[in-house]
Amino acid sequence: MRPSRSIAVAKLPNSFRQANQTTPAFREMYSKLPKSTRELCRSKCLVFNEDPGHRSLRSHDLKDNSKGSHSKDSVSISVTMRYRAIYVVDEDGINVWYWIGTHDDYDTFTGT
Amino acid sequence: MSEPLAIQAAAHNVEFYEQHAQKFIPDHQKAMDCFDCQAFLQLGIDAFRWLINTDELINKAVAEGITEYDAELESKLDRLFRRWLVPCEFANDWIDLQLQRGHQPDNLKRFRKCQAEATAIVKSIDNTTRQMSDSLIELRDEAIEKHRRGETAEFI
Repeated sequence: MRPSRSIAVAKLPNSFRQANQTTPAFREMYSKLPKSTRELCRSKCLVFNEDPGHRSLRSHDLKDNSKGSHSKDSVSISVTMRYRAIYVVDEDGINVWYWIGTHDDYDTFTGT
Repeated sequence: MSEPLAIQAAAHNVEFYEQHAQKFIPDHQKAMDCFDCQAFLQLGIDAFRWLINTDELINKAVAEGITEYDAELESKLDRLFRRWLVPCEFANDWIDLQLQRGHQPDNLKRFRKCQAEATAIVKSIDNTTRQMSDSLIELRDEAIEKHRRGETAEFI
């Protein structure tokens, strides 16, 4: 079991802050989430920082089969069964988070 | 190990919602009025809220290290979302009838939102293709460009 940690006092550690960046679009989407979800998201960041493959994150690759300008796969992680967040790892090894929302929002955005 | 109270309560609410669908289906010809339809939709909305709250509660407990991740609990929640969707066919028929009569239940928009979300959740669990859409690829490319131009920021 992971060490007990209260969300109220959870602070994102330097190791996480140095390895993860967010786009303006991500931050706008994030700001529209309910407060409880934002808090949970921060707490999940700590889980991700300790173990990106933790089963509760349900992490999985999103494949890019196009010949786009970057052609890099992305990674989707679950905040809850309702919310997911998506990032891409850039050449410098930084995780760039660029999408967060409900699965319904995701389906609407991707047109799937 | 007994089930957490939140799962039991969520299951109870979904069951209550299902039972009302079963009760109304045989004689919905008689029971078709907007008020009953609205009350039925509210049962669905309330049950959905229970599922969402339970999902958050479990994830919070795991993230805070209060409890271990439990695949069986997650599987139970998955099954409850699927069960929640079962009465939707009946609900949609009932809604259609109300709309044909010119009556729109006050909570129709909220119910539709729950239905769309539950459908998307189940779809996300079942989805095995996991390919990026064009719009997501475009957003990813934009994200990389912004990062390289120094326009990204630390996690909030």
